[in-house]
Amino acid sequence: MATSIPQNAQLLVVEDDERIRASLRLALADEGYAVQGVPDAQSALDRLSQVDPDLILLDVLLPGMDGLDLCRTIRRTSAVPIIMLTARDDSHDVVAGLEAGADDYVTKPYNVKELAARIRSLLRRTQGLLEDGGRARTIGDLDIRLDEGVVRRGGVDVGLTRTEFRLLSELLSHERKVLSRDQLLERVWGYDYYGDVRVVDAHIRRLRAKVEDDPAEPRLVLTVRGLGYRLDPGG
Amino acid sequence: MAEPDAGRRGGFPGRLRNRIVIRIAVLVAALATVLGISTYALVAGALDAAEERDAARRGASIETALEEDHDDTLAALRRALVASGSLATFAAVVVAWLIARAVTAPLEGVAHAATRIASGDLGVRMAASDDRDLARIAASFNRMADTLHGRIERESRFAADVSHELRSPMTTLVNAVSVLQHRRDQLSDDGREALDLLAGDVDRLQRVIADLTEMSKHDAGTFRPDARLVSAGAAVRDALRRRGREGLLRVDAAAGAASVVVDPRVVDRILHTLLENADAYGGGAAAVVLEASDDGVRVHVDDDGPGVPEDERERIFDRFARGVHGERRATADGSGLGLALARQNACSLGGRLDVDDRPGGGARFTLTLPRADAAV
Repeated sequence: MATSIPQNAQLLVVEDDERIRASLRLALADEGYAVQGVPDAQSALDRLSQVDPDLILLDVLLPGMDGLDLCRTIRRTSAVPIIMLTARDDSHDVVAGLEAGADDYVTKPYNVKELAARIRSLLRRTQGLLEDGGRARTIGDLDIRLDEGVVRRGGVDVGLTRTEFRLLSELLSHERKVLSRDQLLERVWGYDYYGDVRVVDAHIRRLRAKVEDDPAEPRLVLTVRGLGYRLDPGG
Repeated sequence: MAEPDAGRRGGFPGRLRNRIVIRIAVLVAALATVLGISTYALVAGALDAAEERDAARRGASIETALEEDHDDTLAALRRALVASGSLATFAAVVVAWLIARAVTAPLEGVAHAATRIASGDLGVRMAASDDRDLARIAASFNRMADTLHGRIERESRFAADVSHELRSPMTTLVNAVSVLQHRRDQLSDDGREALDLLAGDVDRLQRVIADLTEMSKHDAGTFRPDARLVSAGAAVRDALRRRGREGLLRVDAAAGAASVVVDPRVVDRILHTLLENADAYGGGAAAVVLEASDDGVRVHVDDDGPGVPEDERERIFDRFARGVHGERRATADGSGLGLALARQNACSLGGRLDVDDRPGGGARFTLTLPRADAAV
């Protein structure tokens, strides 16, 4: 397992509780990650202008600009994987975090093993893109470059995050077949057991907003009621 | 528990209304009878006296036409009195019923609202009224309901807030312990022993907080299972496989094929608690039996332990329940909330959780899940 961890992946932890930050830095170092911690959104943005972390851990409740706004701000310019750290797992925080562009979430008090597993799965998934190598697909006016991890419409990058891209390529590799939300959780997010299907739904919504002509009337990424999702390349 | 419509069907205001009607009817009937009898006696006496005077004047005691006349008059009077008495009683019943209805109608609203509050619908309030007396009743009733609602809400929010506040320090503790565990080899024997104690209780504390959080969601009514159509056999098998206990499973064919609409994560949580409970009290689970029944699919978790005495079979599902000898059941699940939460979770799936004797000895915990077609 250790071999699949990228050596010395750099993590940025945005968390206002100094003690959590310190304990996370120590515990994640044991898992092989180099952690930098910052206490608020402004220092996070400052840090991001200098370094390019492999993944960001983002607390939802931050003084000043909160984690959700920070997430949206980061998403404007970056597809870096983001895991939200939430204090509550009820609908509001989780869905809001995912809508803001987070790839996944963990609930406090998370233990480092669980968190490390999420991190590993996200890093592996985002790096795995390159292994697909050299394939490209054109569906309608969408140009999907599996080798680059980029989707263009009329030559313009639609700006998918890594997870959105993984979701699209998973649906694409089973085109016309239905994938259940549990299957997608397993294949895209690496959950080996029933995870939170809201994660899938939120990503499908974000994906549609970027690749569909009319996200309210999807023609490419279709919902199959009660079963899951299906990609219909048309024609 | 009061049934929701008790106020309408023979409940408090209905019975009061009937009592009012019956009393007034009896009173009027009695009054009419007394009045009738005395009128009759008065008239009959007057006629008798007239007859005697008449007879004295004539000096003969033979039946006269006048006497016959008087008998006819008295008969007519009897009929008239009985008729008017009955009519008066009947009219009294109608009028009394109308009055009683007007008096008790507002109470019906009170009874109805109180019944709904008792059955858990805390948001019910009485509508405003033009009637001054009723408005006062409604106002104090609503104030009482507000107070009650507020207190219940504060209580359930308090548990949620407490567990929420504990989450941040818990996160630090959990991660710091994990760092220490990584360096276990560098510690002395005493240090290792202390670390194990620390790790064990941090773990337990974490579970208490998780369970309290879940419990307060149930209490606040915000727990939303993510129900989906799954095979009962697969859901149970997955939960056992995750814990390397798949070998325990016995499935009857009908149950294996049955579909249920459940949140598989919730089923997993319930089975987890039952397996841990069996480990702690029953010498480990002996079998997990899946069988079809009239009311759905039953999952039995059997153990070889001493079983649960009959008078404890409800109590063990209480929060922080203790055994007969005062020992804490908390050791089973680490939080003392395990079985209470498992039952609440079973209910949230439209099912139930009970304990019984296992045929041949030991305890049998039974999770009943409604079939997909029977589920709401």
